[in-house]
Amino acid sequence: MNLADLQIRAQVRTPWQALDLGVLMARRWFRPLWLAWLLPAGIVFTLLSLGFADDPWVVTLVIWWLKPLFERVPLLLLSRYLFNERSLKGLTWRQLVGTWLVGAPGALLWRRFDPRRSFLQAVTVLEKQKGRARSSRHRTLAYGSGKAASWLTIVLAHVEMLLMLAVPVTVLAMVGDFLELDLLWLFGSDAGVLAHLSNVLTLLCMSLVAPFYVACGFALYINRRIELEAWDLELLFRQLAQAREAPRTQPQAATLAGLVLAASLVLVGLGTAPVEAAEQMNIQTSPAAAQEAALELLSAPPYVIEEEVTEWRWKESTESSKSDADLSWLESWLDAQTSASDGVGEGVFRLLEVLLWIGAGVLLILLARSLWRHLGQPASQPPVLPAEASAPRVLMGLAIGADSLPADLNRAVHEALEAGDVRQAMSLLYRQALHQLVHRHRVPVEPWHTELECAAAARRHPDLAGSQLFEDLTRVWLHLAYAHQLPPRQRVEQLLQAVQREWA
Amino acid sequence: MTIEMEAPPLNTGTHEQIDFLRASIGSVLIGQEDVIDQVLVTLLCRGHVLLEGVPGLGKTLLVRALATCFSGHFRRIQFTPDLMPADMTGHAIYDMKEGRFHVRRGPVFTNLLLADEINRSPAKTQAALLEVMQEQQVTIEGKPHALSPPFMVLATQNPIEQEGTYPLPEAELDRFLMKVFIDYPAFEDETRLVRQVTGGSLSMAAISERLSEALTPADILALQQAAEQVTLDDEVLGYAVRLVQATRNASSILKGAGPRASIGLVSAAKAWALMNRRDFVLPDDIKQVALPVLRHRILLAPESEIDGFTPDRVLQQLVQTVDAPRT
Repeated sequence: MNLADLQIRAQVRTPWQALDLGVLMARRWFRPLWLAWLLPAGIVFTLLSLGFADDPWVVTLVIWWLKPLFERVPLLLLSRYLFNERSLKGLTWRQLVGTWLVGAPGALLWRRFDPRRSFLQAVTVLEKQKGRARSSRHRTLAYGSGKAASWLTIVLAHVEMLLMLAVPVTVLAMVGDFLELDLLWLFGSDAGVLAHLSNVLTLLCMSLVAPFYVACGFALYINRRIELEAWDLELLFRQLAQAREAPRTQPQAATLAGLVLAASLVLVGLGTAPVEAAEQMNIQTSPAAAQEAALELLSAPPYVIEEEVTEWRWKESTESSKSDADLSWLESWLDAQTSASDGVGEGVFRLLEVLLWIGAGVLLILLARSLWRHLGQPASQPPVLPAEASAPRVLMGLAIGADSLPADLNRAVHEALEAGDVRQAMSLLYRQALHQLVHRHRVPVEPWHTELECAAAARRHPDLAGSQLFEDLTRVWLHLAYAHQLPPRQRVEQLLQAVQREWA
Repeated sequence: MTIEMEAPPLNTGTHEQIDFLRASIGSVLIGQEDVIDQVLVTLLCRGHVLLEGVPGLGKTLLVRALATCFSGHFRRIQFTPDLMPADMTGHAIYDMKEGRFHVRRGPVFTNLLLADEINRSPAKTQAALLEVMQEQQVTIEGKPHALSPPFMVLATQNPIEQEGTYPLPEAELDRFLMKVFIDYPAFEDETRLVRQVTGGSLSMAAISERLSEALTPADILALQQAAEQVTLDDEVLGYAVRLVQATRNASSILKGAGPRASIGLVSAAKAWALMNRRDFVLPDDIKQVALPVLRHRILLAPESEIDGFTPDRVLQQLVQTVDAPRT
């Protein structure tokens, strides 16, 4: 890597400017980058399509999953192009395969869903960092640019999806509406040749977006390195150094003439030097005095700018200062632990780590236990019923909770009948039936349901499908409630017996 | 959802007449049972109905068959942009020989009036129907002329063609008891319809012959009175009013239904109960007629319209927020 060959201007840019630069880079070297992504991906795609001819969705899934690996060669290529190396010369096949394999498990598993993938991939692929060094490097690089890298992934993922949708929609628009096409096959939901065609379309869309994704991520990475390692200053110094070295290489004659001229000027100058100049020379010879004079000079304007600023501030309450004071011991303790060199601090943190692992283990055990219970539940067993509290306690203005109904229904109904209150007797019966319906049979009934809708819900319920009792009760209740037609006492007693038989 | 009720104490002749109307119109207008029921409910309530559907679904046939069933008069007005109010209601003309004004009665003087494509005429012409529909009378030259009952307006409008149409004013919409959607028949019904029409058994002559045992206008008036006599519990009445009031408080509705909607809802529920051989109204009757009675009386909020809600969907959700009546 020779900074002098850098193909971009070395200057610190904002992350968004760096992304713009990435787009420019992708456009400039699009073809090689695109081919570098598409060729390996195409080979894998073809093999997968042959292997999973009956399950085309597997092909798309695997290709999508392997994207971080396919992006590595374009990245390598881009890093060379940036320093004016126009090919992969000097790289052996082994190194090329190594580029694919280095850090591959992590890239495909736990770092697969990192939205900053394109930005941080260079640390693994180009810098060959591993383990903690890589994590530390990630942290250093991500400061200030991680957000832009995440947005890059989000935006380009959407662009990719839009492309995938746009092609079928364009086809539909071109075909017109005289042909009735099933939209679904265009989106690859059907197995067969069309599904494989849809996969090819997906691969092409991915390959079109990939160069931009890689280049933008790499531009962010380079921008961060320029910032951290001051490439711009380094190049400036190099230019200055070159400028200084340039006179040395001038022709000898010019040098000789220069020397003669300088000597004559020095001789003339010495003869006319004033006394004051000699005094100043004496002052400058004392470093302490010069330092003092410089400090004095710096402590007065224009080096010190005095400005009066007025602003409102909250009074510092005693509580907050107290709480700060309370917490300060923790802070100092933690500092002491971390700075302890005798291994005590490390021990405390190890203990905490062990406790965390134990907690995670307990959580896993609890999860496995609940899963075991769920799977071990026999299929014939009815599903867990919703909590009783969710069932309505009042329907059509009638309280149907257990506490609102008499413990001895038979006695309460007969008492009402004896008192000549047939409506009260029927109300008790109907409420009892509704209570059984909702709380015992779990018939889904809503507060806005009418009597006929309750009856329809009961009819649909498997437990009550063959029973006529609720319909008989509803019929009598409707005549009583809305037509004001009292049923004969004998009919009420019949219904009471039937209710007791059914829901004893 | 229905439960077979016990034998009704009503006059069985009433039910036979209703069944006759249902069966007669149903034999002509195939596959539109719901539309027939809703039109009959409107007739029994002395109301008017707004039919919305594309042309060619038998709207004229429905009105003609209904008129034939009770030997009533039937008139049709094709609403056009240049139709004048006097063309409908009638006017006074000066007789030079006798030297006085004669009143020439317009086509509204009938039993069943089909106002075809009512939204093709401007509001001025549409407004001429307001007095006819509400008061069942026409004022010509300052003198009111009563219409002979039963009187019913069946207006139609096309939901597709909106160019060159004038939306009905809210005051007029409110005077329609129901707004009924008439849709394409199902496959089996359409097959039967085509077979009968091409076989000649569905011509108007054949229909008139078949409906020879027609009712009289007096029978229709008796049916209307029977509908009014249907028992209505106070709780059911309260439920209907609560339902209408809920349309005024819903955030998805810009303008709720007025008191005329409550009256219409209860009247329609009574008629529906009568048609189902009951002499009392159930809350289900209210629910059954709520959509056709309320759908044209509410104005959706702009955000609801943007979200793609229709009046029917909003009303269905609204019905679920109002608890069933207390008994």
